[in-house]
Amino acid sequence: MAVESVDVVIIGAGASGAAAAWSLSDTRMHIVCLEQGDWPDPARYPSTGRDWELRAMSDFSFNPNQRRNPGDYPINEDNSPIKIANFNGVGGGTVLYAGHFPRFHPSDFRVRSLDGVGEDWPIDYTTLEPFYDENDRIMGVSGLQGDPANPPRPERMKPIPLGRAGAAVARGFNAKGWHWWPSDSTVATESHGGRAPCINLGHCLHGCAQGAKASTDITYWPLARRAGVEVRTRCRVREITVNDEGRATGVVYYDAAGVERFLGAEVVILACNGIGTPRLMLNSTSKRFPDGLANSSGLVGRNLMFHPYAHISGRFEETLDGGRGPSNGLWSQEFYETDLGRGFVRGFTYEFSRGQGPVMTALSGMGRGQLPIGAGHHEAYRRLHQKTTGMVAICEDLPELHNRVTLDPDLKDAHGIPAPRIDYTLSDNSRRMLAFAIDRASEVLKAAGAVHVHSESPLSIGGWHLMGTARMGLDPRTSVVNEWGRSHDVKNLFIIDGSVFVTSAGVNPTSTIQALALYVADAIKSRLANLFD
Amino acid sequence: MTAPLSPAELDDLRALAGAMIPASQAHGVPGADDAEIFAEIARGAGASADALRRLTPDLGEGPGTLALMDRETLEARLVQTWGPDAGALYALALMHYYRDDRVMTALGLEPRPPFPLGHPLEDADPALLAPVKARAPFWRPAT
Repeated sequence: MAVESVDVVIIGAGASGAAAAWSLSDTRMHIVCLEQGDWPDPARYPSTGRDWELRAMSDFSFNPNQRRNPGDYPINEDNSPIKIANFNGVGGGTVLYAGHFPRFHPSDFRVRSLDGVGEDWPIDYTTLEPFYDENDRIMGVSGLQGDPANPPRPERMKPIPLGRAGAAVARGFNAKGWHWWPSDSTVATESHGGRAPCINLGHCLHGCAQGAKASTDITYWPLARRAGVEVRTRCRVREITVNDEGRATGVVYYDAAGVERFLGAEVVILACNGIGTPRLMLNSTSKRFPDGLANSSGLVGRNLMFHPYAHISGRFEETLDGGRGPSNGLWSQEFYETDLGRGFVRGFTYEFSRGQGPVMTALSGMGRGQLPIGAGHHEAYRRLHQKTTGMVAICEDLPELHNRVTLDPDLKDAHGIPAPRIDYTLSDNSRRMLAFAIDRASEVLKAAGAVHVHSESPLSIGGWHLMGTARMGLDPRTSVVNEWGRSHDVKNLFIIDGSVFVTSAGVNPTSTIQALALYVADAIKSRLANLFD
Repeated sequence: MTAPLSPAELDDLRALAGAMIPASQAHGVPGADDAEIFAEIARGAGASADALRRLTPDLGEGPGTLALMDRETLEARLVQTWGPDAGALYALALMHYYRDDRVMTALGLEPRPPFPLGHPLEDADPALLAPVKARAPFWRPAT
């Protein structure tokens, strides 16, 4: 049987894989993307049915262990206070993210130089800036220029409406004299690239049936496929193979029918997120790489970073928005840059969290002890219904070797491939940052008129951001890929997802993941003549 | 595998649901033991069967006995013995109760899914942003 071979295989069709596929498509190389999940079907997203809040806890849960879709793989997360959130399918995490789209700050790339912690990145903000701009153009970003907390941005669609809840929180920040600004968001507020504007379904986090929120299945992929890139769904890669010279030769995968296949490739690009990428590398052992592919540094799987989240909510007397409208819409970066007087190094972003639908209001009320059973139930519910809003604090996590992804000795996926195990502990710096964030947010909400404030920290469901497990750097002893995403050890292997992050910053990472993917793809294109030197 | 709930256990679950979320004339809502709502609860009860079986001996004499208690007595016993199993059953009742048409209507919500009609969302007074716009840039430059 003839061995099938392509120029480029991209593993993973999410945020980064889609962006790189689109960028590389203009080379006219033969590019195939293997995706273990399926194409999402917006007609079946939860917000199209009366059980929309229930499905957010079942087949559209963030957590793969709860969701258990055919495209998912199990994750042993017992030894982590923060549980993994992901989505396995075309679009990846962008299907279930909130669309909050901040960029890193220039200082985020110079953490060691400025603050003496973590490591500096081998690239800087100005390197990524044109790719941030290009990504904004394809994804479609709403927001407002002129934010004093950030470098200038290109023109955007008009911002997401604040609503009553956003206005209340904004008044709270104003009362404290603290920064806030309408968020950059991939929720389209005007028609953009064939997408309809937002109609405030309020269910961004579980798939946007309107198509207003940019997920890569409806942004990059139509463009990349039109340019000739092939996406094969329900294809799970088991391992990346190498030859005696240490060059990647292709991938072994199971196709949609469960048949084991080999796909040869001149270039292999990993885009499986900060858990899936190290998992696949650790599963790809060989005589040349007995400890996992491209792992001479021993850092594959190490330095796992989440963003520890705190959720702070206030109960108000006035009627707010409930679950109507995008979950976010404003941010505050008053406490983003380091001030050691606060008791911690680095900082965080507040992301507004609008409110909840009727079922989640009830469940949250129960969890907080605010919703009794019996005769007092209905009166208590009406004190919560559409009267709660608040914010999350997205705290910068610093890289620590002991926070890591390994292979579980027992747990396997449906194809018998060893599953990842997460070992993660919250640092003292993160604990201090979370406590500070809760105190300041409580002040904001009380200033805004909240009669009761509740907080949860760390937010156990909040492992949305998966970073650092194959980081980039100039030194092969202390990094896995070089400053343009190529493996130090395997010259035709590239990594383009959050694994390559050196530090995490204190913002949602998707815009930076995609800017990096475009930057790496651009580096590949500009070096085609001597790519493997 | 957990055995499905027996008719007597379903009666107990319905009594519990009614004690947790009783009907209210004042608010114009049925209780969670309403026939339509409880049918949904019963459909979704599979994963909670063990919780019910663990809880029943703490509240009554055995399967079918909770259904014979008056609501106030059952509510009082639930409050006294409250724990994770009672919490799981309360969550089950809440998940189905707060998507019933009559309950949603009583709360001022339209009984429909969010899509395709969506919802209105007010814009705020742009003047709110004036004090922030007046600030000088404060991000740290770094190269």
